Amino acid sequence: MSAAEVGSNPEWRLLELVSIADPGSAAFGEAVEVAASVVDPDELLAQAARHALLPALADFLAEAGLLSLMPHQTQKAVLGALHWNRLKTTAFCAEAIRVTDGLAARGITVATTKGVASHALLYDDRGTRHFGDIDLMVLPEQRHEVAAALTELGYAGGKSFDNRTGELVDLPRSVTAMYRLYPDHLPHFLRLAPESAVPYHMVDIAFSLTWYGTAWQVPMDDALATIQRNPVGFGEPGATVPALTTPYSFLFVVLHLFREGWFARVINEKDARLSQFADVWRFWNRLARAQAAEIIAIMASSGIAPAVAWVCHHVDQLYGSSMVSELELGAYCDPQWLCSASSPDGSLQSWHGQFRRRLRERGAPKLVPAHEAPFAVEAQVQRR
Amino acid sequence: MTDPAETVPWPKDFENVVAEQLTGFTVGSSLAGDTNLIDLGLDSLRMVRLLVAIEDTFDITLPDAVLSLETFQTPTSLWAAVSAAQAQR
Repeated sequence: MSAAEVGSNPEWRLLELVSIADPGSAAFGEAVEVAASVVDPDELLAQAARHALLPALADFLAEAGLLSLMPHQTQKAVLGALHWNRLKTTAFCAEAIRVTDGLAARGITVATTKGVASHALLYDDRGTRHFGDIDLMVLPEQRHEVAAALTELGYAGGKSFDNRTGELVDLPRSVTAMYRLYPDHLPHFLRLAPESAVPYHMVDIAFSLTWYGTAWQVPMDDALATIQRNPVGFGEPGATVPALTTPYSFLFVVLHLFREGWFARVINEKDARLSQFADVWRFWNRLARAQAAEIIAIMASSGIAPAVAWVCHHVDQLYGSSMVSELELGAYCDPQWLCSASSPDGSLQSWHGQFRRRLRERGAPKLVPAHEAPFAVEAQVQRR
Repeated sequence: MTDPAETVPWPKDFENVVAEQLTGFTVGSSLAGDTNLIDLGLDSLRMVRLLVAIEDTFDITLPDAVLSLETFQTPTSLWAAVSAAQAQR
């Protein structure tokens, strides 16, 4: 980000730095400097909330002694978001242990992904990473057993939480039908949690690293062949949960970001967040870089390199990293591909500008019809 | 066993509900049994809308086992699923 850009929007620059800052890091020091230029704390607050970075912002302000950047009452709200996130993290971690133990006891191969699997490793167990559910990966052939097991563990499938009544209600037929027509996840499983700090627990079951119908498929037998144990951290000292190995876990985080940033149906509902880019950057710097050779080999055998390049290019642009180069992805960074998207009818679209602008602007990006882009046919859902 | 779609032509209601979701369908024309609905603009969102409209119109629930892209490929394959669900009521 150029000096002129920082000067015109120090709030955004601060948020970018906060997303990858840890106490004592270079990003933390730069964030402290940029914070002195912040003139609109409301803008900072709103963007942090939109990008699931409110707990991280609160932690930074507290650690840096900069809470006075916020109006008095706002300080309490921001700190409340951090305390709530830590309580929620504690509850989710305990539940993740219970659920994964329960599934394993029934002979089901299961791995945690995303928040539960990585918050302790990527965020130093500080309770600053926002997550809203327990993400699990299973073998596609075991998904029906998983559904039955989760029912025994107190969960109900195909439900959502009614914020008015505090009860579980059926997902709309249109939503459950989408899960059936494009099977790569099970409809969410929920259970009310009166014993916990959170009103309910939600488990999201995936059985693909990519998405239904794409030519890019990572064999799930390979992805789940080796399960490692990751520290679950928060509130559960010494406890671990099953997780994908680092290469597969990293690739899933990357591919999930691609999916949310490339398909217009998802973009219009919830476009990609800065926190997702920070996850990728942290994963790469802390764990994945050391296993680049394995990641390159998986990409070569499954064909997913264009999607990984799409994400890594935009992460590099944001944070100044060199993932594209280190993962040998330069050949996939075609300009048309990098600004492409897919409409619900499968036709190609594109958006303008860098991802930084897309993240910073409010509202979904403007997508316009595009003629063609390399790799798009393989990425899209094959419809016949 | 006879395929219901071969002996039971779909009612006008069925054709109307299907046609409503097709961006490439010309009003006044009729749907052939082997028309590729996806070629006529039945994308993922429209497919789900079509499912809900069909279930409302015919007061049925299509079982999970038939919820696949193949079922929504042509009027014949879709009507086969609808008539099977009607027979199960």
